[in-house]
Parts: sequence; C-alpha cells; structure tokens
Amino acid sequence: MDTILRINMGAEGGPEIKSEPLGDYAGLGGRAMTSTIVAKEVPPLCHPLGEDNKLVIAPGLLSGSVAAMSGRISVGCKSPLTGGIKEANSGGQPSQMLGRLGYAAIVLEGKPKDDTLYKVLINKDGVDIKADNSLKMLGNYDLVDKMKAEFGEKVHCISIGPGGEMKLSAATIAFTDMEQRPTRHAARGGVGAVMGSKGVKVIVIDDAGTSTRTPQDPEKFKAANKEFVAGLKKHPVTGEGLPAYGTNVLTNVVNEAGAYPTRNFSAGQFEGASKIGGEALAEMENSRGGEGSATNGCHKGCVIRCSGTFYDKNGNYVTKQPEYETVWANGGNCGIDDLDAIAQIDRLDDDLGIDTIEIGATIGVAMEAGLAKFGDSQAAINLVKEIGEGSPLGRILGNGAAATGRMYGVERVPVVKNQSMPAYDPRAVQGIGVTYATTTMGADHTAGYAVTANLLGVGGTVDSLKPEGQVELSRNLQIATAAIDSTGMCLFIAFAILDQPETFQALLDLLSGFGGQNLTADDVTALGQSVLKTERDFNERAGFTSKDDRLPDYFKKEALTPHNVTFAVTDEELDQVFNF
Amino acid sequence: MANTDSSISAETADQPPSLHLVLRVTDELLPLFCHLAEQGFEVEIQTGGSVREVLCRQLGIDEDYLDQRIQTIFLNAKAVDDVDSTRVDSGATLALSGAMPGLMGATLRKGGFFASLRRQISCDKNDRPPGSATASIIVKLFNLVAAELGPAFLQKGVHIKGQNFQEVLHRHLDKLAGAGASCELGQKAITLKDLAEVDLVDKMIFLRVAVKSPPVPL
Repeated sequence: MDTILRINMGAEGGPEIKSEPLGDYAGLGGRAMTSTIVAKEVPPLCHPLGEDNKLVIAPGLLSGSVAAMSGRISVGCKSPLTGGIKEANSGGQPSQMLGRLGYAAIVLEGKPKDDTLYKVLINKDGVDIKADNSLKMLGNYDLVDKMKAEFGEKVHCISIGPGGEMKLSAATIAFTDMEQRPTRHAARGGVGAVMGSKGVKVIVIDDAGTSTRTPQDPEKFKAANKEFVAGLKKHPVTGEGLPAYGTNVLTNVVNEAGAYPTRNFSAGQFEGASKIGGEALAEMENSRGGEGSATNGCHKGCVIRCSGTFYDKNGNYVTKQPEYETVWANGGNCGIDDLDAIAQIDRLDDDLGIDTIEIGATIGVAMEAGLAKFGDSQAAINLVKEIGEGSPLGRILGNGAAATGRMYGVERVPVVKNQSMPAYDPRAVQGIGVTYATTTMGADHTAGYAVTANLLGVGGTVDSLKPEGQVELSRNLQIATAAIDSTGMCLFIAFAILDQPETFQALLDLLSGFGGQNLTADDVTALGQSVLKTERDFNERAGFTSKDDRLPDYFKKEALTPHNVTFAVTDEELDQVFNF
Repeated sequence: MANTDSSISAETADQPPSLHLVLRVTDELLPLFCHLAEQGFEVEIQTGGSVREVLCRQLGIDEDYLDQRIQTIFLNAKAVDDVDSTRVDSGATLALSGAMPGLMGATLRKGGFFASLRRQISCDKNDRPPGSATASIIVKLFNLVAAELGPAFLQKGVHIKGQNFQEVLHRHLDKLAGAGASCELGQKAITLKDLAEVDLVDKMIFLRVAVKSPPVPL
C-alpha cells in the first residue's frame, strides 16, 4: 500500500490518471490520511462542490492484511453539509481490496467541464476510466448489478446513487458488502455530493490476482491477531451482545434511560421502543429465517458480526439489518414503531444514496412542520421517495434537517454545524452533548466513541466525579476516536479493549507487528491529537469559531422528559475541549 | 432461583385481581415469551432493601451474575452505580441489561469510568433510613439478561399487562398452535384460538409458562 492514485476530473482532454508514491503521507491511513490530505491540499474557503475540493478515499493501515476487523475505509473532503472538514467511514469489502491492490488513497480532484458521468475500474493491471451516461440516476442496487454484469461477478463497488448525482447535502458513498450489496455507507456530511460533483458514479474494484499484504514481523503479527480475536470473542459485548442483537440492542436501554430522542427530540422515551428494539428485530429475523438473517459481518475478517439481513414476511430480501441509529432516526424519532416500514426506508436510503441519520432527522423536522403526522410510516416512506424523484420538496429534504427547518420555519432542529444529531439526547447524556457540540465533524456520536481514553491515558487521569469531567472525557474520547479511525479498525472493538488490557495490548502489537515498529499507547495518542488539531485548524481557516461549537438554543431551554433536564454545560466549559 | 413463589405471584394492592393463565409449551418455544420481560412484569418485594438485596436475596438472582453479567441497571429510569447503597422503594421500576456497545453502553454501565457523562440521570444514593413494607415493583429484563433470566421468571409466573401478552400471542399463534401448545385460563382449559379472542387489553394477567422440561435454575 505505497501508492496514491489521483484522478483529475478537470484535466484538459478528459480525466487524467496519475499514480504517485506516498511522499509526505507515508505511514498514514484512514482518517489520518484523508484529513491530512484535505487540510494540506484543499483551500478551506473553497466551494465544497467546486473544482478545488478533493475527495479522498483511504483504507485503514491494516486493510488488505489478515488482521481481524481491519476493513474500515475513510472518505474525506470539505463537507457541503457542514462547510468544514469531513471524515466519514464505512465497512464493506472495498477497503481490503484497495489495500491488496496497493492503494493507500484515491484522490478525486478537479471538476469535469460538463455533466458526463464516469465509471472507474481498478484492477491489478492499473486504472481505467470511461464515460458512461447510461448510469445516470441509477439507484445503487441496479448500478451494482450492472457493474457485475459488465466486469464480472467478483467485483466490488464504491458508488453514489441519485442523491450524489443531485449533489444533495445528505448524499452518501456506498461500499458493497460481502454479498456485493450496496449496504455500507460513508454516510455523513454529504460526501456523496462531492463524488457527484466530480462526475464519478462508480469505482469498480477487481482484486483478482492480488494477495494479502504481508506484515514486517509475521510471528508477532500472527500471535497478536490470535490474541486480539480471542479477546473480542470472549467479551460479552463483542462476543455475545452484538452478534445476537446488533447495535440496535441499544434501543430499549437508551429508552429506559430517558435519553432516546422521540418525535423530533420532544421527549426522552418512546412508548413503541420495545417493538423496534434489537430484541424484537432479532426475533423477527430469526423467525423469518434466510441466509445471514440475524447475524452477519459487513466485510471479510469481521469476527464481531454485528450485522444481519432483513427479509420481509414472504422471505424476500429487503436490506441489511438496520442499525441502531437507522432504527431510531426513522423509528422513534418519527414516532414510528413498525420494523418493516423502517427497513423499507433503510432500503430506499441505501438505494438513493442518502444518510439514514440525516434523512430520519429531516423527516422528524418535516413532521414537526406539518408535512406529515408523527407515526405515519407511509407518509415517511413517501417523503423519502420524494427525494428520489428530485422534486422541489425532495431537494429540500435531501439537503438535510437544517435546510428543511429553515424552509419551513421550525425552531426545534437538532443539528450542530448543520449536521443532525444521532440517537442520544444530549440533555440526558450531557457528556455526549459536549462531543456533539465541539467535534470538528458536526453532531456526530462516533466522534467521541472509542472508549479507550482511560487506557490511552490521554490528557492524564480524569476524576469522573468532578463537574468538568464531562469536558475532559469528551476531549479524550475524541482523541482516541481519531486514532482508532486512522488505523481502519472497526470502532466496535472499543469495548473489548477498554475492559481487557491484554486485548488493547494485542491491538498495539498487531499494528507494531505489521509495520515493524514498536508502537506504544503514547504513539496512538499523539496520532489522535495530531489528526484533531489538523481538522480543527482547517475548520478555523474555513471560518469556524467557538460560536459554532454550540448546541441549538432550545436544548438549554426545553426540559426533556422523563428527567426534566436541560443541557447545562456552559459555553466556557465547551471552549475548554480543545485546550491540548 | 432462591425466591419463593409468593414473591412474584401475589396480587398487588392497587391493581384489580389478575386473570390466571397457564400456558404449556415445548421447551424451545419458551424464549418467544422473553419479549414480555422487556416490557416489564410486576413482582412483590420487601421495600427498603438495596438493589443487591432485592435482586439476589429476594428474587434469587446469583450475586456473581449480578456483578458480572448485569452491567447496566436503571432504577426509575436513572442509572445505578452502586447496587449496595441504592435502595428500592415501593412502585419502583428496576431494569436490568447486559453489557452494551459503544460509548453509550460504556457510559450507562454501573460504576463505569464514563459515568460522569450522564451524571444528570444517575441514581442518587438514598440516605433515608430504610422502611420495610411489602409492595410491588416492576422489573424489566433486556437483551441477554432477558434471554438468560426470563425463562425462569416465566416458569415461576409473572404479572404482566394483558395487552402485552396478547400481542405476543397473536404474533406467534400459528407457531404455538402448530407445536401443540395448550392453555388454561382461570383453571379452565381454553384453546389458543379462543384465548386470542379474549379481550385482555385493559387487564393484568398472571402468566405462568409451563414446559415439559424442568425449570431452568437462575
């Protein structure tokens, strides 16, 4: 993985392909790679859909090796949704394949002169790019089928749906899963719109004739991988809870905590939660059966297998197992307690290439505006279809909750930096609210997700009983997450490495054994801090100030039931997060 | 399981008498009813005891199971950190969960490193002197805990909302009928089809699920 592939879509005479050595970017992967390239090469004040923005796709450091859980891939650019730097990541097969093909990053740059749509083929023989306007406005599912027919049954795809072509701020980039379905998405921040602005509909990857990447220290790597896998399998979250129920296992618990945003963040508990929680979903999937129904992985090498496959009552494939965030956004947040309807929305979102969180939050805002009634699942489905049709209303909805709130005069719009909040109400869990407010990404639960901060010792020891503990913990979590995102490891490893020091050490040994260096916790911390500082610097140059690190005002004024709490972290405390 | 039948089968003072329902199913169908445990069932306890006292000494849950397997506990929707100093009073709702993923899971777990992230919804220690009385509380079991403890509670019998039971019955009616399940309502035999027609929406029922195999010990 020693090559950066650059495709200049604005070159005279058509797209220009160039492969170059890593240079200054050597040793970087995932989020560290995408954010470093964007910060260095993209003018912060450029238009996100203009020729100066770049779309960077980067596998993790261990992608393409046999390391377990190493199949995440990062996508970076200046975000059309937030106006700041963006990293969105995804599972799926392409990360491992790009790693085996030797690419540490793909950079799409420039802007085509017209609206011609292109497809890119990457295989062991090189890179080919061709115009193909027959792909226009195809959904991701039909697109992948067409690419399989053209390039063979074993290819995988990185693609955009109509959402990306329409350059909607909620547009995603899809990555095919093990079954070659476009179900995994770099979803947040409108990265799909940037790919659409480059005129690239699909990148087809064929890794036939390649082999897995080999570690520098095979013995150390092999032993560490074995220990790492054993640690994941023996932990109750990664070895039992996630495989059995998926991430949606959180629904009942978060609801019980009174932290489940309900009906556009107007309450903290949803009376229909038990009908859409992970337990009900698993029971439904097990009852309906089908291959990979209740437990499945999203890429080869995944040992947690937190996903699954959703079939309808007649046994027909609908979509992958909807994740917690998706079930919440299109379920409780819209007052909907029907798993079949939620799965249908998930399928539409994946096919159109739009973010399930952003769209669910948007429908919640639209319901508050009176465009549909809370709980009306068919109306929600129709609104998503409206986006696919590209109607004026659909274009508004497809640009997210903030745009929709502005157009319809809604005050209760749950966004930070224009990006909608995920499935935890920050009034109940205020430490997560600190992360929502201050992350460089806009409201994002994964920005402070990796629960390794105490193991890494980032920022010293935190007294969790001190009032300021929430700020310190949020800071440390954001640093730890940035580091994990840069390795390309799945964030769900976090629980096992938090609880089991030997599993954390196995992760360090895995990275060390692969790269041949002696990696310590301090090195990982330094990497996370460096990534965050780079991103923060970009945002400052793009015009962001501390005033952008705030939750919407109503979170400080409207008490959330059942605890009747408002967001009480002060602005002064929020401004301490980036003091490192 | 060390508890007595009376601790979970007695009628409650402020509820109408429950309809008694016995459902006889084969062993493998018992998990179908664990969904009821998520929605909550009533049990009678001696109030004023700690969470540990109620769960282990009164309801018979093994102490190691509480310490190791039950990672997240809510008392009246507030996260519990210390099971020995948090007391359970009349009318409480006690919810039990296994380990949860992600930051939210880590944040909500009892006594966890990230507890301060949710301190506004943490359970305060109760310094009032305990007063003991017989009263009912609601217990909810989620995820792995429901799968592991639910069957034993169901076999002992639980007070639940009739509407919750009816939804489960309607969802699995064909499967239950196909597997030869039978039932008795108020000690009288009734077919599953007839049971599905009974209006239980506003009623409490005392449900006992009997299986051919011996009860599973907690």
